[in-house]
Amino acid sequence: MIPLVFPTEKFRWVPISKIDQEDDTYAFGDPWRQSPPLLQSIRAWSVLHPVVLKPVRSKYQIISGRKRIRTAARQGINIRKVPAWLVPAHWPVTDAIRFWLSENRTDRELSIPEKSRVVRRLLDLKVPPSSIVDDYFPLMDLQPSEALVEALAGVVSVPAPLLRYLAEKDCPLRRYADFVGLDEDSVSFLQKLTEGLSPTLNDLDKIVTELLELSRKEDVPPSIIAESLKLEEGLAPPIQDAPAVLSSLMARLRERRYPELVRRLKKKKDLSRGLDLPSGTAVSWDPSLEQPGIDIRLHIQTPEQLKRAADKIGSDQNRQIIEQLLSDE
Amino acid sequence: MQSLFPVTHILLDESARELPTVRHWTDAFPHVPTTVLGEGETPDERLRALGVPPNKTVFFLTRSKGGLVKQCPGRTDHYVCCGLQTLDPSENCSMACSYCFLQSYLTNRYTVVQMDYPALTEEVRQVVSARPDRLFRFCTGELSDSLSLDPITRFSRHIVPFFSALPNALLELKTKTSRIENLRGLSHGGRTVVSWSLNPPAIIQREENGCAPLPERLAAARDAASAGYKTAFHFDPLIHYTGCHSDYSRVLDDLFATVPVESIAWISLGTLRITPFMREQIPRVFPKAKVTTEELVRGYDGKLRYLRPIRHGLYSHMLSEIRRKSKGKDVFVYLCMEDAATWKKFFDPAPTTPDELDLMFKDALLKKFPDLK
Ligand code: SF4
Repeated sequence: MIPLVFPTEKFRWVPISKIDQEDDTYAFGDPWRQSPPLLQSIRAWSVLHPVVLKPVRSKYQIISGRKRIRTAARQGINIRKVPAWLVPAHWPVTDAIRFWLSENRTDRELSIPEKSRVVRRLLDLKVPPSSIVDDYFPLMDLQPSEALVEALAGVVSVPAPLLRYLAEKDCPLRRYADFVGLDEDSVSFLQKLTEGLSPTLNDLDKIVTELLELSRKEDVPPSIIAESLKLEEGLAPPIQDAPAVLSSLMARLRERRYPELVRRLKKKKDLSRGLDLPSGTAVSWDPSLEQPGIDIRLHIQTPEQLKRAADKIGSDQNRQIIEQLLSDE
Repeated sequence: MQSLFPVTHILLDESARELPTVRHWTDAFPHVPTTVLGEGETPDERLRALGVPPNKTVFFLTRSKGGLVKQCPGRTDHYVCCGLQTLDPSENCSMACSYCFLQSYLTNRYTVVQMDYPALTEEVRQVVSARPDRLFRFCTGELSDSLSLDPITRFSRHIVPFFSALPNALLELKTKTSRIENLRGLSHGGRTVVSWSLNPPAIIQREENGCAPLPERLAAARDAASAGYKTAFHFDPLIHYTGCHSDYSRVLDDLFATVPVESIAWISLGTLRITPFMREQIPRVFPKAKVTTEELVRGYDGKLRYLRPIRHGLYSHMLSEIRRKSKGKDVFVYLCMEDAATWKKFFDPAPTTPDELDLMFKDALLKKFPDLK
């Protein structure tokens, strides 16, 4: 890793009006990250800790301290100037990114979307993946793997409303890719779903995967599938029984995605209802239907019980049903 | 006609440098940058230093350190494996079938090609001489396509005559190309089977990227048969979709109309199998592919397969169609990676272990081709 040299800097009080808040060269932080104590502290003491700025043309770019400047500028606080370290205009963007990383990782772990924004920017700057791994990954606590560069770069393509949900649910890196490539309507449906039902990551993943698979199979956008299955029904607030709504929604999706499996399982279940078995007997089968046959399980304590149970299980009615259950395989 | 595969960089292992086969590459690609790797240097390290992305257009020409003959990796306790031996003169494929396990595991890796052909044949000789009672089948198409690189490697010119002299082994060259030009005029002694994987044209177009279209494969099979080679066909993976039965029937019509049944050593049937990891990867790597969109359930070996009744439907259709269209002529058919229960449903007698299937294979081959005795 090349050592980072912080350039000779100047300290100044810089007017907020001279700072370009729209410039996003170093805007890697999650916009949803809240810090209420910051607001209180700025109200009480103004901005104490200097921000880091870089002069670009007649304005200043924010390298570090974006949230402090935003808070000072937007919360109706009467602050005109902030303390700032100024770095020279010629300081390379790539070095400034490393500086941003080292500053931000000291007090918290960077989220996956934050790391992704950094990697994307570096790739845009034509930094080779091998250098990203060598010079930037240690600052993001990442394993040295070029495959991760590509995976991380893809994360920011996840639509914004979902990105926040996934980051807050601690979604592992490899699963972000499932949420890329959704059309606008699907994103709005998923947003309603996450806000209304707050599904687990696994359930959300399943819903998205199946929607996308169905959409590819039927050559229509995922939102059309969602609409045809009336998946949005029940998502209007207030939702009384979120787990029930979620499971009915998932059942509808599963029925469309696995029609043959669902049909066969249902048939098995219906047929097995006709079995006349000793009480306490459990009937089950492999839910994937890969393992042929059915399991009939009962608890026997005496030879008499065994005889009675065997007679009952082997009745003509049961025999017929079991034959039907097996013939369907 | 398929175009030749792209080559962007050649890495040459120092230990292979003097081998005459290296000339095939340097002569064919004089303008492609070539880097010699010193002893102990790995291709990954070197590519990194060169800033060359390690994909399959980068070819690593090396010398075998042994262990290139293996038992087919499909062998597990739950499924009846056909006992094939694999021989891997190259690793990675210039084509890109969506369902191929190489796509998920090797997509970003370079292609490895073994340059020391006599060392490979020596490995084969040792395996077959240890069991003179067996009829071995060796296939070079497990970690690659057997013929896709052949116009350059000319490996077939070495391996086919070698097998012609082995009393208890057959070579299978398994391909989805039409690149049989090097096979013409070789002395094969009837001991090389050239096999093609077949699928309906719509599947080839959508899922088998870069592979030869069906008519080209069948024309190549016809030409191989007229050059005296035995042929074989793999309907593997059989892909299920609405209308697939009639599409596969049409492929069989074309097959039996083009290739003489007398040349067909076997036909294998195997429905789609993918790992859960591939199921995640395929839509990302191949956005147009539809193989993951059908109902797939997890089998005993952890791989995803069609529901048992759907698999049975496909097998039953294919078996009756093969029997009908081959007009009762003797064609040995086997199932790839199916359990004993499925075998039993369609075959009598049905093998229950890999050894039994191996024996069935041998009997069927010797009956149809007495020249193999
Ligand atoms: S031709 Fe064979 S080896 Fe090549 S990608 Fe297709 S399935 Fe894989």
